[in-house]
Amino acid sequence: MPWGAQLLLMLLIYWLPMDNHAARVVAEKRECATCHIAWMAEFKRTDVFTLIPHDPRPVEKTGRQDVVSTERMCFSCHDGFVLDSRFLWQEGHSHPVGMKPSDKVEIPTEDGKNIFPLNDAGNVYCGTCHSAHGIEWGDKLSPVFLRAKNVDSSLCVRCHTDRKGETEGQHNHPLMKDVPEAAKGLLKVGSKFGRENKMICQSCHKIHGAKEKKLLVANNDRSQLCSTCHADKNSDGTKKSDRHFSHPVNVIPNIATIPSQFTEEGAKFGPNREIICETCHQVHHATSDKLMTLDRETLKDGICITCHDAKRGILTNGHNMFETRKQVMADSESSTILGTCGACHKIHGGQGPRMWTKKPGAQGDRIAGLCLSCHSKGHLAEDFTVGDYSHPVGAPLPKRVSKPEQLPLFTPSGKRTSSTKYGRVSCPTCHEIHNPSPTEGVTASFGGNKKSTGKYLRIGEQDRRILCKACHQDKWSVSNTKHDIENNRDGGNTTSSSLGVCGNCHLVHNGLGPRMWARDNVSDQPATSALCLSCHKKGALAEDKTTGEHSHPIAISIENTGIRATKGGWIDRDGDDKKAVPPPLPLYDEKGSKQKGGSLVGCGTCHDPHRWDSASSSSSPLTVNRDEEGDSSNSFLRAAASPDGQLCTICHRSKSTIRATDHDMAVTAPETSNALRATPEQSGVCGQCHAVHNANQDLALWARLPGPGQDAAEMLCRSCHREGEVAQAKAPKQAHHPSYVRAWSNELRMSLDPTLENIPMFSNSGRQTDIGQISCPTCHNAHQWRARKAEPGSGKNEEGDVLSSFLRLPSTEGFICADCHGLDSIFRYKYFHGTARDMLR
Amino acid sequence: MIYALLILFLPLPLMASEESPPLVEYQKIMELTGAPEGAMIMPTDIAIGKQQRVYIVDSGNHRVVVYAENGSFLFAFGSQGSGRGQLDSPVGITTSSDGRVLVSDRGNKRIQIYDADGTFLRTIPTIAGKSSVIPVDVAVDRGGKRILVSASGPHHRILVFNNNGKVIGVWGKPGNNQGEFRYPATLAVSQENETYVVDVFNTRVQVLDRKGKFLVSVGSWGITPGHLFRPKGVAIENGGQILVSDSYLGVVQIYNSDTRFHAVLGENGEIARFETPAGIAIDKRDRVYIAEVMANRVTVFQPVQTP
Repeated sequence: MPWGAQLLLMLLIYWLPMDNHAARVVAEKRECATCHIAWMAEFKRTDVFTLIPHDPRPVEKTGRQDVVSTERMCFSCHDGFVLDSRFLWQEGHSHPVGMKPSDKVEIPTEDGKNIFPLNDAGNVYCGTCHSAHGIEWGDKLSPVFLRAKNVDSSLCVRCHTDRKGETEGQHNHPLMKDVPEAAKGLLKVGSKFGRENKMICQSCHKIHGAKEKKLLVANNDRSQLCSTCHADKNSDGTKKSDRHFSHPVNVIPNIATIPSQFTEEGAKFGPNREIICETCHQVHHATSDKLMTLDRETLKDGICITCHDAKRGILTNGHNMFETRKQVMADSESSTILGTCGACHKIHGGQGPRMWTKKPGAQGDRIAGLCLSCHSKGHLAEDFTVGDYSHPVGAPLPKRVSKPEQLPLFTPSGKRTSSTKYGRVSCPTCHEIHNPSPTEGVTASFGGNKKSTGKYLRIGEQDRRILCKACHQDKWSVSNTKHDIENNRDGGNTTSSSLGVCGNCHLVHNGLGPRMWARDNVSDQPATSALCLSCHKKGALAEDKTTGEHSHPIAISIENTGIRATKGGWIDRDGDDKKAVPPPLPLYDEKGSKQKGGSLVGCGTCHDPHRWDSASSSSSPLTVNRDEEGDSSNSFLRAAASPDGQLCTICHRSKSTIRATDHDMAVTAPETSNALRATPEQSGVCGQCHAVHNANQDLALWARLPGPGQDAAEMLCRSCHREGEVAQAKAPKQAHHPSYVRAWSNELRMSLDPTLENIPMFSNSGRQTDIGQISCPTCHNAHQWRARKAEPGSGKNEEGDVLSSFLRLPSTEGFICADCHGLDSIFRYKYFHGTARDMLR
Repeated sequence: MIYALLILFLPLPLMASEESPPLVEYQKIMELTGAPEGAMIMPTDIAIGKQQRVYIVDSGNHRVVVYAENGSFLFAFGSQGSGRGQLDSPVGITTSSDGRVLVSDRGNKRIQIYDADGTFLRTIPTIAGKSSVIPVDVAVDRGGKRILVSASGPHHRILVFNNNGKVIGVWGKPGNNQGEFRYPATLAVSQENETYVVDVFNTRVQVLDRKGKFLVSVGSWGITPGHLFRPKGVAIENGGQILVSDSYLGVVQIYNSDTRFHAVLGENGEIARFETPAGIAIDKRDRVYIAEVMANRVTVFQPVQTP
């Protein structure tokens, strides 16, 4: 190789690596100058014009700082054309820059230098946290361009040491808790989770471009963010509260008053001053590990009473389980916070409505279930149970019940309501355990184990008469009547006088029988009348008003009168169910309960024990002198029985045609009286002959003195149709058919010929019988003037003929007489009643 | 004689001083800042459509705002979301000769196509092979049959679609050699159907022929006139000159059609300074529309006719 070539090769060998090195240096400088523009060599040259001036530490909005970390430099790459971080500069909230760190922030140092430097003005700026040289590139655990790794928000808490979960004296929302699956949706709004889906600072806070204040990833002014993870405590409104058994949030307090202490301690509220999670809890700098806003010293009566001051009364009454029974929740911390209330209520994670600590039954009235969880056998308040016969709860209000203006109703789920459509009576309708009426006389002693007294009623002793009335206004007509025993000089029931007029007959709890009966039940009487007879019997309170030996039967079926009682109402015995009409009178089942479809007659069928006069208002007290003797127009009857027998003919419909006939004593003999000395005006049309109670005899409950006759039926008629009596003008000379003649009853005859008329036969005792003798009612229907014309009389005392005169048939052909006497029967008939004989004469 | 007159009225570079670069004097005639529904937020790119309508990507509002030639607001279309006709952080925009409006829907990784009135027509997902790529800008070639899309990192390529949305070509690859890209951004197509690609981190504008083959590049790394630091927008003036915006330096530089530096866009004898200038568009009247992203406006200049 010639020497010249050798020299060239040596030079090449020498320069080649130098060229490579130079190229690398240039390249490195260019990469650095991509951000470190102040390092550009052109700035040092005087022979060129640069398009921007050399300004390595420009003054920015945040203060003077290195050009490399200016907003302009960052955005030159993060503007969407290279990388896309435009959202950081758009509307939203970002970590504050251009301000000095607050005294709550502690910037860590290393070798005397801030790990996170401030700019020349001492302000936080982008470069405080960001640097291209801080973190090893390729570290997948942490974002790059940060001065320190930010794994599980480790960078955040290096400065914000006061917010680092639970530390001594610092109570913050805990970090590194599992994030529930339901909260993963937060990722869409910029939330980040730590390793293994743990909760970190950035789970709630978005450092750049947060939509909400406090750099929150989502709005939390109605606890939306809190409840994303704490869905089990998200009781948005009282409805959800009842469902989740947690204290409601997002409700404007209307039964509680938030004291100023809360606001002073940093409590937050919703946009309309609603209670939200952050009203009671503080995510950072709370007073306890329960993240409470107020400290224990402030909460000496428990956090509940702090706001629910109206419930303060419970602190000193027997329902203070915390004091009287040392009943505390298993969660002792909560007991400390909740105090007295914690014995029964658990703010979060209750077992039932009203955040109840115990689990009420799944069925029935839920509020009552809460009460009964203590007030039942084997439980804490087993001395105060309600018994087998107690005021119903949880059922829809019957139509007869008024809307109680002074008492609350409750929905089946336990929510207080004023709606009678959805509202039900429940225990707290009458009872208020927190603050009962001051006149209740509730006392409690916390020293020993003294039981409390009083009934914890909303309406106190002094106003007791109006407690029941609040709902049962339809029963208020009992006031001042003879059934108002409290006002009765004869005396009251010593067992329940404290419940006023109602309590003398009814015990709201622990009744002795149906209808919460407060008096001895008369067990040997039908249930349909047993309650009444507990007073209306010999030796009892109403012994002067007993029913006597012969009285209207009770516990018999209404069907005896040709009426069929169904759940749909009353129908003719053979009538179509669709034509049922509402029952005009109550009927009962065998247990004495008033039931739809019940068919048994009881005292209450005719009597309304709460209203003396059916013509008066059911809600107004009696205004007349109650000592005045009653008659068939009042006497607690559901309808007047005089003058037209309205009440009687509701059931005995076929008898209503007696009105205004010659048998209506008000027409023919208004001055007379029956055996009970009742005039037609007092007794009514039916009562002149029939006495519902205290009749002379069982047959027809006869109210007059029977006359002579060969059978009991004839004797009834001849009570009047005889010499010296009111119907002596119509007394037959030959009053009865020879008794040795026995004939078939109508039913037997009709089996031979269905077209035959209804002609009854009678026994000697006056009862209808299959084979019997001919008596007055064989031919006469005493309740209908004209044969085959079911209509009332004319109201005049008129003379009869063969078409009227209470005869069953308008001619003799169909009469049974013709069976034996043929064509001669009419003369024989006339003979009996004297007219034929007069004619012959 | 005619040519002499034309030359007389062409914008000519002004020598400001010995140190200052040559300027082409422009006059600001208006600023477009918003619509009745609200101000523009971070406008990124502009396209001139039929009837000289001005289509602006209002990226912060995830919509397109349309103005008339005289600067009066006409209408807007698009809203944030991933549904039909919706946009998520769009960047680039272009119009085709048949009036279509194409928008690079960066956040949804697709191209949204509308008619001139903003009625949504169709979507082209920006998928190359099995990967979804991030579209930055979109252009339509002169024939109107090919849609060009600049794909950001990590792909660093130009995708070519037919009008059916099928990929029919992929140009370039990551790198700093000719025909290679580091963060290709805005696109422009010349009268000669050549594609101009702003190659941001390679600080140049590469010119490709209709097959994607490298022809020449415009500008290079630096901060002196004619050099680029953060090139973002490119537009080709009707006379063939190339305007390139630099979002950090805050200037628009003008290159001759042979790619030599010509001048800096000037105003009142000074370098016109912009706040993060990005997309550029030029209408038939040589008016220059410049999107100033951080300033939330589009500034419109017209050449100052020198006597």
